[in-house]
Amino acid sequence: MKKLLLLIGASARSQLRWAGEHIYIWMVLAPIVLGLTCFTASRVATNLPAWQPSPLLIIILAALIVALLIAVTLSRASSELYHLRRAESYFDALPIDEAIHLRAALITRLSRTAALALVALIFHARFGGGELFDPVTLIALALFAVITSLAEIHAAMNWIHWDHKKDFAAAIIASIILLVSAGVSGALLAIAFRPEYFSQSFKLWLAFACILFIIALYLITHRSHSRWRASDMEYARRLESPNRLSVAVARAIERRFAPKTAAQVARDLQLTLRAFSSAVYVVAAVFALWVVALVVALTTNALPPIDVREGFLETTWRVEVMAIKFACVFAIASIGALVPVLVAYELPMMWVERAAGTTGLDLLEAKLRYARIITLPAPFIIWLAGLLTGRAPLVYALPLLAECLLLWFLVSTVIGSLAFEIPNRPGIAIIVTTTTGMAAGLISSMLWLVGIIIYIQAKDSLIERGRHRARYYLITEGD
Amino acid sequence: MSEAVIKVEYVTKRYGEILAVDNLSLAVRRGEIYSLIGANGAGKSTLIRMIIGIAEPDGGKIFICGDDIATRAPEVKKHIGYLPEELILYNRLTGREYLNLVAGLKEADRSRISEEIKFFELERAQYKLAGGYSLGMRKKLGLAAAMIGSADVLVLDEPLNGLDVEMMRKLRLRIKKDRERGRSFLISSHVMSFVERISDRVGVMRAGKLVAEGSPAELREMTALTDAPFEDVFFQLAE
Repeated sequence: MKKLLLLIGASARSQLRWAGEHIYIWMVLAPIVLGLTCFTASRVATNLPAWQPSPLLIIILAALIVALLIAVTLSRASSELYHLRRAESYFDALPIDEAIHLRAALITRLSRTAALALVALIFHARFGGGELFDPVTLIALALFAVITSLAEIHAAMNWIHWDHKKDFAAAIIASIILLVSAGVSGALLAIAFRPEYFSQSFKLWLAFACILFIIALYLITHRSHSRWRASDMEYARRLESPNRLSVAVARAIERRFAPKTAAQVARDLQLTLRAFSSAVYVVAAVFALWVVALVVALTTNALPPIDVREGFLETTWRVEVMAIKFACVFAIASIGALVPVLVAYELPMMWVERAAGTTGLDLLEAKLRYARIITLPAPFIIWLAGLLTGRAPLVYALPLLAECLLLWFLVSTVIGSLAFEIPNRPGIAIIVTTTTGMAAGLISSMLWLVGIIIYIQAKDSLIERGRHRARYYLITEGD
Repeated sequence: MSEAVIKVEYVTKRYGEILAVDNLSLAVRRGEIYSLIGANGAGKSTLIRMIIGIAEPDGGKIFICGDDIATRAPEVKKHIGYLPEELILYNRLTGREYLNLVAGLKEADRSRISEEIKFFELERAQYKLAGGYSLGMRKKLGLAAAMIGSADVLVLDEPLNGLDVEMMRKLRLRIKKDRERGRSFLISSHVMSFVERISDRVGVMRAGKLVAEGSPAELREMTALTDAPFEDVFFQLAE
């Protein structure tokens, strides 16, 4: 227990000192961005009064959110558990029981999930009409934080173990456990924010089941951890190995760009192909969801019936065409969210650029190209998916492709230009870059001419700002 | 001098198709300074990582003070002090706070911290955040962390990187003094002059195997290079 407290204390002290050095970010910037996001979301929600989802649908949606949360934290949780590129790696050589390392990782996860739950609770109380100190909500959120944290650690451990051993039996068991965890956590989230939808007996039954589930999940995680830690930890530290695809990508890039840009873009693409973060999997999954959502919207009656004058030029405002363009913008922005994550990942290694005499413009240029390359498949896939449903007029196929490509160019340029805005806080940077990119894209999808004007007007100032931001982080080493 | 504090028996470690350590056996006796030398990729660091229990051998056994590290890892690690080749520190903890943490985790006497800080000349830097430390200061802090406690054996991976000449000398004398008190050392280093001056025995590794072992004088005899620099002895043995 004393060793656990020492480990947690050191980590907490280090984090608090970071917070003391970055008061502006967490006291000013984060509340502004979170507040604007929440305000927009609550306005959208109030504008949809006709939508009355069933309790089951609410639980399913909440479970999907939890599953997404678990997926997003895979990299971070595995790093916390196996001490990858962390100060704690030294402590593996000290006389500390491996269960203490597991508990320390769990507590770290729990503190982050609890903070997330607390923020959600405050916004729910402020904008959603809920109560801050409602015992049912508090108990539900506490259980949610514990189960989600355990599931995050369990998922991270099994992610590494699967990659290492390809153990099908363990993977199937882990998948079932994670599905149940997401379902239970989703139900708890639904109870926390929509308690009136559920009966008292269901809440009691669920609370009892959750306590049993937490005990079982901890025991399973503890057992797997003690069996796998020694071999999987070593494997996790040696994960990144080259493959043929990444070598081919590097060669292709070298032929097209200036050497300094090519070297950086090739590295960025290689890291992405080797899944430098679980965010790579998440953006791929979110992109797939946009494609599915578009197909569902076009093949059902989900789109509102709006009359548009029949004519070739007016086709751009047809509901089906607008849906395709909107989906295109969302898909590009979703993939573009990788850019700030990559910059945050690369920040500690930026001494290479520094030593090589790279300029701010070189850095920005590389991230701009990277943003364009990784998002390039999106307009083609979305366009193709839209056409294959048969709802988009074939006669407008080529102009629609041109519009999708314009949206791609605009959104990826905005996201790439903002790559160095808040590189050491990727969570906030994702919100800033994707929101700005989506805003430009959605306006342009309504009138493509506006997109061209936005590009011409904003390009130079965006590049200039981006160059200065990149140069700042190049000089200051991000501190 | 006969009791082995580190006993490596037929240890093998493979990474995919690469055989990092190949059926290797060695022993470090109590009160002995044993140096491991070899080219990059010879398997020294992998072997050290297995000895301190942060990597698992695919075959063979490792005993520390008679206990199998695979079965009694936390207890066995009490006997070992370790300096990694690359030490990652909490950037926002001071040097003293870091040593306090390490002492707490080792359940060691904290009164020794001030002595180690003084020995490694960290008095002025002890209350500064470790994020601002130079390579040499980081190495000294790592050495101080390794020395804290009453470990029977110290495993030092490249202890000289970043140290100035004066500190290298101080460290050499300290190691010899600790050896006289019964402490054992397993040192991996590329600085051949240091290895020759300090070691009781030297193990030469090549491609995961121990290709030669003996005192520096015995290795010179094996190669018949009595007056040449020790680098030449190494090159001849490692080729």
